[in-house]
Amino acid sequence: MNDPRHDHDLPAALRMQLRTLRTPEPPARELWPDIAARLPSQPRAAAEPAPRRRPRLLPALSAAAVLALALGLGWQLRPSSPEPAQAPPLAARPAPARAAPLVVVADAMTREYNGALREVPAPRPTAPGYRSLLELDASAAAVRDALAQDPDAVFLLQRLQHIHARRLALTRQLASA
Amino acid sequence: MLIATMSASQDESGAATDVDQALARASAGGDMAAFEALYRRHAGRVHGVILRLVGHQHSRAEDLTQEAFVRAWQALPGFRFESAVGTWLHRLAANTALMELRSRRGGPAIDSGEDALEGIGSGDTAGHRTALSMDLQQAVDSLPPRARAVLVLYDIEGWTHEEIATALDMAIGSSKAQLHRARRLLRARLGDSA
Repeated sequence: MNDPRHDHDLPAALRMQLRTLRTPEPPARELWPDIAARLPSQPRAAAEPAPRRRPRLLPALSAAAVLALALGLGWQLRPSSPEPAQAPPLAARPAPARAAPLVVVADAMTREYNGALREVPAPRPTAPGYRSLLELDASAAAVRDALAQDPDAVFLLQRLQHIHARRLALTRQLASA
Repeated sequence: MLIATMSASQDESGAATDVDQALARASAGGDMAAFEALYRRHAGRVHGVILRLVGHQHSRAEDLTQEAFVRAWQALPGFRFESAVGTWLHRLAANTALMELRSRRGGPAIDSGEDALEGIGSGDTAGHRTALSMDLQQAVDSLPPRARAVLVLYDIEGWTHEEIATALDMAIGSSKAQLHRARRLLRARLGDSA
C-alpha cells in the first residue's frame, strides 16, 4: 500500500476516482493462439527446490489442493508392480478447447490416476469387491459429468479425488488378496 | 449435501486461489491447457495494467500482454508460490511494460518536460480531444510516459515509492518527484476542476 503522506497534492475525490480506474480490461482480440505458438520454443526457468519450511502456505490451501498434492504424492510413492500394466477402466478425457480451469485440473488428475491404476494388477471380475470397483467407476463418471455441467464446483473436484483414492486403494487391496 | 458448505464468498475466493495454484503447478510442469486456463482467468487484469501503463495504446498493450504471458510461462517452473499467482502475474505484467519503458529511455526526448505533453504517449484518440473535454482516463493517458507510469503505479495500482523506484531503476526521491509532477500535470489537464 502506498504512503498517505504523499497524498497532500491530490484531492481526496480525485484520488478515489483514480482508484476506480483499476479495472480488468480484456484484450480486444484473441491473443492466446499467438502466445501458444511461442511457448514450445521458450527456455524455461529451472524448477525451484521445495522449501524445507513453508508453514504459511499450507493453511492457505484448500482441501482440493491438499488432496491433489496428497494423491499425487501417494501415486509417486506407490510400490512398483511385477505385473504387466492394466488398461484403466476410466479413460482420461481430453480437455476441450478453452476448458474451465477445474475441468483442466480434473483432466490432469485423471491422467495421473489412470497412470497409477495401470501399475496395479487387474482384479478378476469374480473377486469379492469387484462390484464396488464398478460402482466407484460409475460414481467417478457421474461426478465428471456434474463437473462438466458446473465447472466452478470445487467440491466436485474434491469428490472426484476422493473416489479416485478409494478406487485405487480398493484395486490394490483386491490385487494383493 | 456438500454444496451447502461451499457457498461463502471467502470459500469462493479461497477456491479461486486454489484453482490458480493448481493451474500454475500444472503449467510449471508443461501443461499448456492449464496455462491457457490461467491466461483466460487473468488476461483482463494483466492487459488492464499494461494498457494503463502504455496510455491505452491498444496494439502495444496487446503485444506486451503476449510478452508478459510468455515470460510467465518461462518463469513458472521457478515460481515459489510465496505470493498469490494473480499478484505475481500482475507484477510481472507491470514489469514487462516498464521494461519496455526503460528501454526507450535513451530514445527521443519522450519525457523531457511539460512541453512534451501534447501528443506524447497518448492513446489512440490523441488529437481529438481538448483539455476541457478530457475524462480522467484520457488525462492520465496524456501524461508523459514516465510520469504516467509513476502515477498509474502509485495512485491506481497502489504500489509504494520503493517498489516503483526499483521497477523503474530510479531513486525513491525521483519517484516522488515524478508523482508530484504527474499529479500537477493531471490537475492541469483536468482544468483543476477535480
